[in-house]
Amino acid sequence: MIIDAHTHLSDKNTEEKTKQLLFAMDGAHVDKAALITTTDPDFSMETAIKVKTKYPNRFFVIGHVSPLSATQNDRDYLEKKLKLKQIKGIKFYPGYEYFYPNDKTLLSPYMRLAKKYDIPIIFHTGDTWSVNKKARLKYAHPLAIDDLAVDFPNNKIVIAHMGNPWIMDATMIIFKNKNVYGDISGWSYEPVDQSEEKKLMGIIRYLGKADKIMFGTDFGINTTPEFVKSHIDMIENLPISSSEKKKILGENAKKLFKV
Amino acid sequence: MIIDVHTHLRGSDVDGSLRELLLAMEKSGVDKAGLIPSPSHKVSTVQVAEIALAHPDKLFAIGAANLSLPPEYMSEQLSLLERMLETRLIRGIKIFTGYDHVFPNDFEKLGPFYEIARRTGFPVIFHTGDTICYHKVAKLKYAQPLIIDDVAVEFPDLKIVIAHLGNPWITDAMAVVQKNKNVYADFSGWLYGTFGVSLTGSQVSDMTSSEHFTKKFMDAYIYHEGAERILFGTDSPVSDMASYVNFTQRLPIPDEEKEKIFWKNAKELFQL
Repeated sequence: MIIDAHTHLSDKNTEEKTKQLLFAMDGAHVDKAALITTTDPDFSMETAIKVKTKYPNRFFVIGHVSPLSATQNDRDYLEKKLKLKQIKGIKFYPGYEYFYPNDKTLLSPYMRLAKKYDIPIIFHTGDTWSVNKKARLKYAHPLAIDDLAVDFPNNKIVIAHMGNPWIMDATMIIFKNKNVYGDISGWSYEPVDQSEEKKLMGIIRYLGKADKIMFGTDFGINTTPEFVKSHIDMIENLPISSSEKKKILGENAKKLFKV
Repeated sequence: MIIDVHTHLRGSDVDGSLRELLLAMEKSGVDKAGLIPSPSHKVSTVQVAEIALAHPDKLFAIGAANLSLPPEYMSEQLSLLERMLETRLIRGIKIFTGYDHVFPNDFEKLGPFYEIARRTGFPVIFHTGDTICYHKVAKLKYAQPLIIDDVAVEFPDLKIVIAHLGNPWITDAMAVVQKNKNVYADFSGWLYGTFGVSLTGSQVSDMTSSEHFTKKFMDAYIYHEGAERILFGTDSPVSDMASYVNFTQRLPIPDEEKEKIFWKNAKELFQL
């Protein structure tokens, strides 16, 4: 099974964008995709859950929360969605929002929720989409995630984008902490090529295995089937065994998100 | 002549791992090895000193700062380490910043250790970079090599070794070595086991290939323009000693530079 662990839609023109995504997935033989919700631009949990309800076999939803402004109501809402299994993970956006991933006090309530429902926490890391000029990179450096992983050993954490361009830092955090995973999405606005393949092979070499690295595209930054397919081709072409390829393409995500 | 500046014993089986170490040295053609306590201090400073004393031709000991001791034992620890340095029972002090959750430039906590090392002319050695997975409490932010630049500038007469060359922050580590004449580095412990074989049994090809590690080393070597202050070390038993010697012998660098790496730099630094 092939799972794209990182895609986005939008509250605007949702239907049309969903069709685009399905078209791209079909073109690249992707079975399932994680719909990751966002605040800016808006892609709400409500919208994502509706899309998932319409295509139950093709999608699962990752919720999100802005911890600096979240109220008890927001946390209750999140818990309700977790209880109903309507969301399979919680995404944070440090960088776009000004907090560090190792802000224990701020994140504890969510770590507790995630542990209770046994779902992963996902962090945006690395460079930030240039449209959002207010983003600050210091919050998006992956190193602080090591702290969180040590302080919350029973939580599962995903470093989205592998910290790009701080890929090496993200890799050693994944190597060292059993509970940390990474997705390779969003490295390029264009179809990926040898330059991304080299980055990915560097990660696999360092880790010595491929059981915590997940295929993802960040669909939305590019919406063509060629873009999605280029990722699959890159993974298929790696000088590694086919069982390792299967893990990256979907098995790791299947296990982690229980989908 | 080959000096391995970075070896350990296993706390669970000190005698057995000592026999293995001596055997590995013989097999690999290593003449002398620096024995370092474990990050958990399960193998202690006094223990490695005693073992080295029993094998004076083969081993020398390096002490370790134990930062988890209650504060009231700190001055006792410092005077013990100082006496051991003065009498050459140990020839350096290892500091495990990532494991002990202290930044190298926390001069309040670490300054006294730097002071005794400086006074006796022996180096402090920092673990840097990747921390071993089984040690769950280690935090990488304390193990970044860049911060060591602060220590090198603040203590210009202190000799410092960046162990593991900051792997994978090798560029940062090399910049610190290049800039500060009092900073050395060993490139030990870059992999589990032997070059070319995966310990995990995973079928990912090529990940421990010596080409890959040769490139890593050569990038640093070329940047540094030579082998000044670069030390040979293995981190045995983490990495396989014979395989490391073989890897180093095959590096595409001039023989006289290799000699510096294999023993000349270490002989001078540890006053062997």
